[in-house]
Amino acid sequence: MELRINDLSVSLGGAPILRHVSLAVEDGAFLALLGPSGGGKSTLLKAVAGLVPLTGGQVLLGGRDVTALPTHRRGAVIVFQDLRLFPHMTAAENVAFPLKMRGVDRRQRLERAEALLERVQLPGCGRRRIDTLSGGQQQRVALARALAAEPALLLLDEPFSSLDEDLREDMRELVLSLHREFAATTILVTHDQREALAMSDQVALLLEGELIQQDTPEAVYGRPVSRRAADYFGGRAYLAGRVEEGTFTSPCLTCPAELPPGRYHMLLRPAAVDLARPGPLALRLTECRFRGADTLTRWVTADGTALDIPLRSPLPWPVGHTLRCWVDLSNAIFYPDEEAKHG
Amino acid sequence: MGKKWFSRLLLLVTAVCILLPAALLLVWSVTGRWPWPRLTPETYTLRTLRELLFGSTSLLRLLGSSVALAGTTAVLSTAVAVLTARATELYRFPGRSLARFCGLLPLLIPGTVFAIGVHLVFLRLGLADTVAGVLLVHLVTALPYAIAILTDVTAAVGANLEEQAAVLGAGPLAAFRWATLPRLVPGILSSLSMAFTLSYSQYFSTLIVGGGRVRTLAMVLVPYIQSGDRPLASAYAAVFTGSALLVFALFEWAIHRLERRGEL
Amino acid sequence: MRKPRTVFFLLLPLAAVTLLVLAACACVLAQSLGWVPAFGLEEITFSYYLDILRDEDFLRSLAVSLGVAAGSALLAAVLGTAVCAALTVRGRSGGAITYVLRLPILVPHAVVALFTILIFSQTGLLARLACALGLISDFTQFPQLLYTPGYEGAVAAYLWKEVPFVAYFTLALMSGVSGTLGEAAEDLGASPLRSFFSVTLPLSLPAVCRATLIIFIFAFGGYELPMLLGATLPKALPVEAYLAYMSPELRDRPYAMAMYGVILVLSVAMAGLYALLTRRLLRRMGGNHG
Repeated sequence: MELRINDLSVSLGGAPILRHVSLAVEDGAFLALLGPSGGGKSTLLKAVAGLVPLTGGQVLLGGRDVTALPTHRRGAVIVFQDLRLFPHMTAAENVAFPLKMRGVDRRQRLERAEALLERVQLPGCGRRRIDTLSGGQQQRVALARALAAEPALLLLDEPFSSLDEDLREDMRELVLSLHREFAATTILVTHDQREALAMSDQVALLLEGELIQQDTPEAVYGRPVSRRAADYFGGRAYLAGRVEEGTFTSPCLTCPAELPPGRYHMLLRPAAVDLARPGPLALRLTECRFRGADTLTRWVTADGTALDIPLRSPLPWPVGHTLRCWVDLSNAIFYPDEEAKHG
Repeated sequence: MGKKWFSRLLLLVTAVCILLPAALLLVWSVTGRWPWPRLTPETYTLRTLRELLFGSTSLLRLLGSSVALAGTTAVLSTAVAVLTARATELYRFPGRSLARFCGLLPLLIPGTVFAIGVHLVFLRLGLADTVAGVLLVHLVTALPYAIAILTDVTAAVGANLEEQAAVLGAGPLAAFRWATLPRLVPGILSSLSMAFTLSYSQYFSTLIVGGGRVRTLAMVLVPYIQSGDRPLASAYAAVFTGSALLVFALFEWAIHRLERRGEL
Repeated sequence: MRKPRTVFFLLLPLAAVTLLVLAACACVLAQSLGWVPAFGLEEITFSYYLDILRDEDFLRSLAVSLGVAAGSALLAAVLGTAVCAALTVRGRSGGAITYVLRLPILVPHAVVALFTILIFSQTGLLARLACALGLISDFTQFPQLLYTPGYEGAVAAYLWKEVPFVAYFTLALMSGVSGTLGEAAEDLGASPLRSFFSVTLPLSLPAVCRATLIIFIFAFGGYELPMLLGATLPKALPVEAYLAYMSPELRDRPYAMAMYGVILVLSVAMAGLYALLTRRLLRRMGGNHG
């Protein structure tokens, strides 16, 4: 079902956790809610499910205002990070729990539970006690249980963070295939950028309780709306300079820029730098670290900005080598200098 | 470090000090004559048993009323404790520490003073000299212990599973019933057992508030001790203690069974 | 969502109980101040308190009760902590000994009084043992331990019940502390004994102190044991107060209540003092180990 969050704020114990968050997810879409730990992602899920009181704003599900509705009538199902399987029930009883709450009779709900367990690749595990299951198996039971509730909205709170890397990839595929099959509107909370960018139709970036940007993965990564957003995506290299009469000038680089005059930072992404092609930007190789498949190299510009670029080994240059290289400026992004503005 | 013998000895002495009087009680309850300075009784008798079963006070009725009173106290105080612990551990509200303090308040008021005062209150409410009045006093006496036990358990169980049940479609009562209650059971059993024992052994409060009309084992035992009939007093005391132990053992057995089944 | 309305309903029974406790205390205090309309007494006055505070018998009763309470609470604290330490040293929890320790908690006070009589009276088990060993030849030679003004019998009975109580009450905290920080201290070179006295014991102290306070208040206001095991003179304060309460002379009522008032005020003062001391102590120890 379509989800719309309008101007939602949450405070816990007097401290604001979420500030005026607005967000929309289309019916059947897969949205990744991305941000660092402590940024309010889990609280946003709980607010949508009705588990924390709002200090302001609205939650609409399928066009209906559910803000005043108690949790159990919303149909927004969370798979929590700590899974929260009922330890006193078997795997099948866990999966059958939402059906039991709906009054489905015992035989039917256990049949449905077995079918769902099979769907998450746990056939015949229904009678197992929760504590006899591995972490990955518990994860699958939690997913099956959430699906048994036939969620209007499926909320996954960092579901893979406790798994080993190889299991994580399996689980991602399982979640995506379940998403295709059940077509439930899904929000995946994660602090893993690759996971967010690779899995979702849409990415929403939540930093310190504020929704910074919501767009397609390509757009969110390619055109971060602010310096904060760019910082989050690891854009640590910026060239400081000024814009005057449509031209950005910095000690290392000059290029056209259709911006009002002032001080700016230009985001310099490794991908935009072409070391093989001669150009205007002077870079000096200061460090290289062999990593197996590639070598991570650190280059420094004339004004001291460091840029990390992974390169195929072995390197043709020694440390200390300086070269002038080409920069693709067609998608250059500029952020006004906040300090200069405030100062 | 080889110094463990000392702690072993201490535990051994403690165990003997605890168990010896209990054994002595059993011996005395079937003693006929035990003249000074013999170390063992001279004759044994079943007089006390006859007295217990067919004497002036019907033991079975006495046991029944004592167990019923203590059992009701246990259930009520545990129920109140479950509610209170839920409020203080799972909700944030102004006055939370005051509520916690109120739960432990009866521990700070000496039982005798409370019994006298509550009797005065009950005289006005028409609860003096009634079973209901005695029940209420026992409830108050047992409550702080029940609350202490259930506060710990409730805090340990937390609200997480209930939240999960709610997002899966369980209403507040169903969420409590299916997600929390099963995990509270060991604490509830401990609390029942504790409250039962406390109510079972109440003497002064039953005397004052019951006005002699509410008869429990404790009420009958004390006059026998004062009378100096050691065999009969011992027999009553043995029944008294034995029945309390039996109930305690039942609860312990239930808790262990649950633990073994892994329901914790 | 956690609604404030629910808290209100959850706390209703506790509120009723608290109200009852406060009303009971208020009734005792009101009558002790001379407010007994049923007996035609309606003048609020401190004179009953002043009268009993000048009364020798009352002061001796007060001294006896304070002595019994302080003596049994402190001894139980020391012995109980020792037993608890022994259990901790043993290393594994559970087992038969913990069941044995819980037994006295289950046994009613009246039964404990009977135990004490069977063992400590002049024809009790101890006297018979002394005779068998040739230490005495007649039971009158065995020292009087029961019904004495020193209340040794009552203290012994309280100890039988409360030493295990302290041990059991402290066990969870102490074995936790000993298993973690105590081990760390030994790892850093402290001998087991030093590690116990410098780390485990101080950190277990909150539980010990709380148990001691509970015992003190219980023994100070306790009726059965001093009634069954105490001397005719001086009587323990709760016994004296109950006699005055039962007196057919209705004018004695405020005196009885003034005695109960003294028990109540001293108990609450004790608890307040405890709260003050522990808070300061805990702050000095820089932690919230409570």
